[in-house]
Amino acid sequence: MDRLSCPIQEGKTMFVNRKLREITFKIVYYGPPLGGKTTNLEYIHAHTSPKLRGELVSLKTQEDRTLFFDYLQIELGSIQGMKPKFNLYTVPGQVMYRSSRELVMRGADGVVLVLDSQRTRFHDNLDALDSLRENLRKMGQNPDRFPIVFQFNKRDLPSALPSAILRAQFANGSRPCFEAVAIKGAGVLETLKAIIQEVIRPLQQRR
Amino acid sequence: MTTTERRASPRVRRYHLVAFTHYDDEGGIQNQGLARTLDLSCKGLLFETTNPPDPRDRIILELQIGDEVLCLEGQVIHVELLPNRHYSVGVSWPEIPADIMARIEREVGDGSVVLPDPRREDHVR
Repeated sequence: MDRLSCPIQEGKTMFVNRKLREITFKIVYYGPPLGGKTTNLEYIHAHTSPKLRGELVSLKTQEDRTLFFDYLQIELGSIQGMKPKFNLYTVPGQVMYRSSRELVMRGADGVVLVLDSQRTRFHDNLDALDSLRENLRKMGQNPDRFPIVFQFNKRDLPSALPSAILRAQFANGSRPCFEAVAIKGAGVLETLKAIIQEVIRPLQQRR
Repeated sequence: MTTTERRASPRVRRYHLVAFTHYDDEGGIQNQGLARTLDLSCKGLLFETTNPPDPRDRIILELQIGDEVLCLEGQVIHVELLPNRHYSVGVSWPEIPADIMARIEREVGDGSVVLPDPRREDHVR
């Protein structure tokens, strides 16, 4: 992406509003197109108390052909006496929206990589992982240390590759991985809990 | 209702992805979000968001146009509730670097467009 007079913002975006005693994290759902990123947010929105979440927002271009991003804010529990807010975003998956993905990713605290388990989507998944790693490096982050949770979606489809293969290929065997059927909600909240644990871990370790 | 643009710096309807950050006096992040622009001119822009900054806040904008990201500093001049319960946020910038202005001028063109009223129900989705 060309950049005009725009310093690269490095580091994470977690920010603290001491006056309101709020701490805000940014989590991005990343992955190939039609892999289930928006479906994850729709399920979370539908199955979280309205007291704890905001509206699910999808901002699109004028003709509604292109999705800029989905956005959902949820609030959960408390950390060190502060109210944590989690801003959940999706990125547009299509290859051509590289610049949009880069901007949405800017300042993320953690990523859920939603992969499509179908055999035919294997290379799309690889492209998504490569793109994610590239964006993290541009943000000044080490992709091997950045909080990422892997979700193998569409496990109910007959052409789904075995999880062990996906885990070995994408997650290096050592990252949190979850099987999911996001359209039915299976694995969605478990994935969310895992990425929340990942992004708040540095704060808990500081205590 | 539509308005024919007669400003010195005409606005054109443009939908672009924009990130905004509001810093407090000590340089800490006060508010941060992603939005889409509703219109753009050489003097400022209007964007749509669900978590607006406050009027008079000074904010940093990262505006994506094609493969470019333009970094701008501006001031929030008004915030209005839209029919879809999102907010429209008007931002102006007093002066910006020449290279960025040139890019915005290319985007705005001659401004010979008819703008719909952003507060109307049929304008927002």
